[in-house]
Amino acid sequence: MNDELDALLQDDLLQAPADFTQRVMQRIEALPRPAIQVATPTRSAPQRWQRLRWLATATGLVGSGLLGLSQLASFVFGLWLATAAV
Amino acid sequence: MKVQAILRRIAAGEQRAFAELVDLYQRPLFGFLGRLGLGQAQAEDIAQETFLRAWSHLSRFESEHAQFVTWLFTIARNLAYNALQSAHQKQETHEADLPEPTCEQPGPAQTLERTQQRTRLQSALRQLPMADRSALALVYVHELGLADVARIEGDSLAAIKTRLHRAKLKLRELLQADTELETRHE
Repeated sequence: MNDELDALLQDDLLQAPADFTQRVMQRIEALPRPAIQVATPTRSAPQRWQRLRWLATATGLVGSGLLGLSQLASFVFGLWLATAAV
Repeated sequence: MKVQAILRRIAAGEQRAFAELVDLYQRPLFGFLGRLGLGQAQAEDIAQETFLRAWSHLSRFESEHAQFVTWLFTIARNLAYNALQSAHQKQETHEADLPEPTCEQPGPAQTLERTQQRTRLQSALRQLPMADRSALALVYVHELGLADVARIEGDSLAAIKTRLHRAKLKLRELLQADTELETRHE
């Protein structure tokens, strides 16, 4: 019964008349033309998010690298100061 | 993608490209209106009005946020809802206005049986509550997914599933009762 009902519901109970498109277009020609805005293919939101994450990671890496280098430089400078004092 | 290309052509000034959208969606639209229990004449009016409104409001359609098919069926559903709720509904949707047999060419007995099945189905559909009927009519549109149906109906996915289950159950009951009544008469 369920399959039978599904088949019945899938059936087109009504059909468009053969000249339906023509009739619609005839009426549309009398109407003003709408100003439509179609989205041009741009970068999608997930892509944008991924790019932002990449940028944050890169900034973090560069920042922590610079911090490490400055720590190393101050250590070397301290060593030099200590040995120079002797 | 095909719809996007057509919309881009319309935006470029090619008005005739809209005919391709009408060709593309008229069949599922009439199928939907038929499942809502509308008669042929009323369905033609609503389908035509749907496309005219879609054309007039194309500037409001945001292709980035919505699918054209979802938007179109939302318009159709709202128009059909209003038509069905109007006081003249009972007079306008007359049994005589039921669909004619479609293009397949079975024998006369098969055609008659099929027509009777459709008539029974349409009269059973009309007895369903409007909200359940609308969800049921939309779910058989191949171009729409269940999430699209939920969006059009403005309801959650779970609620739509419940409505569908309820509608099918009721429809089966109504059809069974109708068949039993017919056999008793014979």
